[in-house]
Amino acid sequence: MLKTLRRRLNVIGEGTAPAAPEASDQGPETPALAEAMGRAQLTRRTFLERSAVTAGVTAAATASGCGGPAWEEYFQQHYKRLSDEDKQVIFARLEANVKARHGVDVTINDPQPIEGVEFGYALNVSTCTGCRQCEYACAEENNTSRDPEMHYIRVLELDRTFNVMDAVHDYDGQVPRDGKFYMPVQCHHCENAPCVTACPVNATWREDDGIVVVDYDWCIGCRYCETACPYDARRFNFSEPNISPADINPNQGYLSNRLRKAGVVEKCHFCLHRVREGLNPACLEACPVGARKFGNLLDPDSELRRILENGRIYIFKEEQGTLPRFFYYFD
Amino acid sequence: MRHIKTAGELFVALLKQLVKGPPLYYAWMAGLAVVVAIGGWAYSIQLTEGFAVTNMTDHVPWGAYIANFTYVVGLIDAAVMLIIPALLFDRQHLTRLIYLGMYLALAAVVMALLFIVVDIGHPERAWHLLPAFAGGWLTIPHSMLAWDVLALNGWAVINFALVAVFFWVRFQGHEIHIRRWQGYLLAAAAWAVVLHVITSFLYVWLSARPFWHSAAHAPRFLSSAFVAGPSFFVLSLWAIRRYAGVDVRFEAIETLRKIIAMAMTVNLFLLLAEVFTELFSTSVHGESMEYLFFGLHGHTLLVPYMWTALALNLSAFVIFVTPKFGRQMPLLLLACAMAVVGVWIEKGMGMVIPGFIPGPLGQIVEYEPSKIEIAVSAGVWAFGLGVYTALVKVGVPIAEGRLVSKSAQTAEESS
Repeated sequence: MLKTLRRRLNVIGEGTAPAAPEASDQGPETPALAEAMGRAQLTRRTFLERSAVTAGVTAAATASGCGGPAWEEYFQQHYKRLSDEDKQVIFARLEANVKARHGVDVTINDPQPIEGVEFGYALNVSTCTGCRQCEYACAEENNTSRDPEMHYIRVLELDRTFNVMDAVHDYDGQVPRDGKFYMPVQCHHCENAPCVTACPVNATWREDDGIVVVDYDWCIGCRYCETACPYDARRFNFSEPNISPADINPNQGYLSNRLRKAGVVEKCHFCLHRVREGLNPACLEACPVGARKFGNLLDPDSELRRILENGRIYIFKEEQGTLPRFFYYFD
Repeated sequence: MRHIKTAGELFVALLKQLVKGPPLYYAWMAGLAVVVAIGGWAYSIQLTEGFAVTNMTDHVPWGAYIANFTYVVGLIDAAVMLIIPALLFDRQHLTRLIYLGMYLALAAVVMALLFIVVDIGHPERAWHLLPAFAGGWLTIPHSMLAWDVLALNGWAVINFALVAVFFWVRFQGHEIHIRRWQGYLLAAAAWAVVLHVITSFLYVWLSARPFWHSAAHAPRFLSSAFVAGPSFFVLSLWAIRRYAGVDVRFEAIETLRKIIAMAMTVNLFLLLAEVFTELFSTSVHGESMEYLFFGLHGHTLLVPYMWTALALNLSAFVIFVTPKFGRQMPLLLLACAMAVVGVWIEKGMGMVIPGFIPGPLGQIVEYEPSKIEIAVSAGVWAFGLGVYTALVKVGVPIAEGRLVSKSAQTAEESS
């Protein structure tokens, strides 16, 4: 992974890659989020309680000499139907499975939507340099498969007519190039999400804070959501995702970056396990030019609201009527 | 108690009828079994290695399986095109063939369900498709796919029930009174039409894919099904008449020819209307159609197939609409074969794949099925043909009163 990242950095060249953004140390961006941090702490307590269960399950798995209780996995219910006790058992089992398979200690978290928070994202097309650092930071954060390589974010290179149908997807070399715009596209977390409408089993839905999530243990892999999405935001695991133990991010969310299996669909979830804890998404942290702004749409004092209310906004495929929570803007 | 005994007797009689037959029957079934076995082996590879062994990608997430699925759902409409003219327009020579149409429809729905099973990433999670009260979470009313699951499985139940009751009644030596059956049959025909419309709505509502987002799509689905279904049926009738000895009247074939000719006229007209709408304007919405018929930015994978389909459909059309040609059996069979293949290309790959090309972000990633996909699809087809053959093998003697229970036999002898 480091190798690919270094390759990317070389591509960008020293001149165009400013120092790492300070955003990473900033913590919560808005007062509402800061307040919510208190709630987020609650989930940490359940962690500690669960570690006892984890130990139990690990011991059981070792004793029985098999990969885990396949029967329970098979009949596992939909996320929304799980009680807190069910979740503890399931999370512990998933953690034990990762330990058994990859030898890595991970914790599976389940932060809940925060009341009074609806997340939104704005991206400055005027400043984006097309360096693809967001794309690679996303993969690192979210444990996406490295072989075959999967990315949630696609960065398009557009000329000044801004016609997406003529976009260049596989541009290479020194960026930004003269006369070009760069437009990263990821899940727009639509209010009227066609993917959610399409899903025949409710394996994907919009949470109260606007994040469209996937229950990887409920998805049947029909790929109808992929067909329905106007933003090409969804990815299917055509084969077993591969990621080396050293690259596994151990801080995992059940509805976000926990390890997936072959045959299920996944996509950007606004780094749910981070943003509900008051952090920014990994793609924002990685952006060397500050082109990405994340925040609470319901907070009138947020920087996001200021941009949306005063900036020059472009809503991608607005005619689709999907009401995205992802906006592009120009200086 | 008597019913259980008769049911047992029926089961044994069906098995006996199924296992005995001329060498050609064995050869045909063995050949199909080999293809099914190869398909099963290919599917086991797909199960263990994942969908990477197919040529589907995130750009073209649906391929040969869904294309074939769409086509075989249309074959169910062969039964509709027997029931409606027979019962509403009193074509009695067709009434006598309805049961054969129901056998074909049953084989078609088996294939349709299998094509869905092989297409999903986690078939073992199929129970998630049960309604919410049964532990799954079928998302009626908002998902068109959920509606399609309901419509398809509903048809499977209806079709199976009608065939089973037919077997049961005839096995006991009772006559079929069409007046008593016509209500059920017409309701079933309506269900089959709705099923096909819902299958087209799977694609139509997707505004992200302009190629499918057209009101002409649903009528085109129906008209092409009314071509492919009866054409396939006429082809199979030839074999059934020859090998199963069913008496098929010229009038029946002639009525089917007229139905196909009309459906084909409508289908070609709708195709023309769509091609005109998409291609005469310079809007980017026409790019998928351009890709299909002329290629887009040097990508021309589907172009030869589509022109082949058009040539086949037009040639078949000429034969169907010209009585002088269409009344000659060899020419009619040729036309049916051309229509079956032509619609299969047009409505299968020709309908599914251009929906994804160009993609929503302008990418052009082409698709043609991998060897695994071809093997699995062939396996499903062979299985379906096997089911159809088996149903005809046991179902013709039953329909003709040659396979009846012992009590029915003695009753007949004594009378």
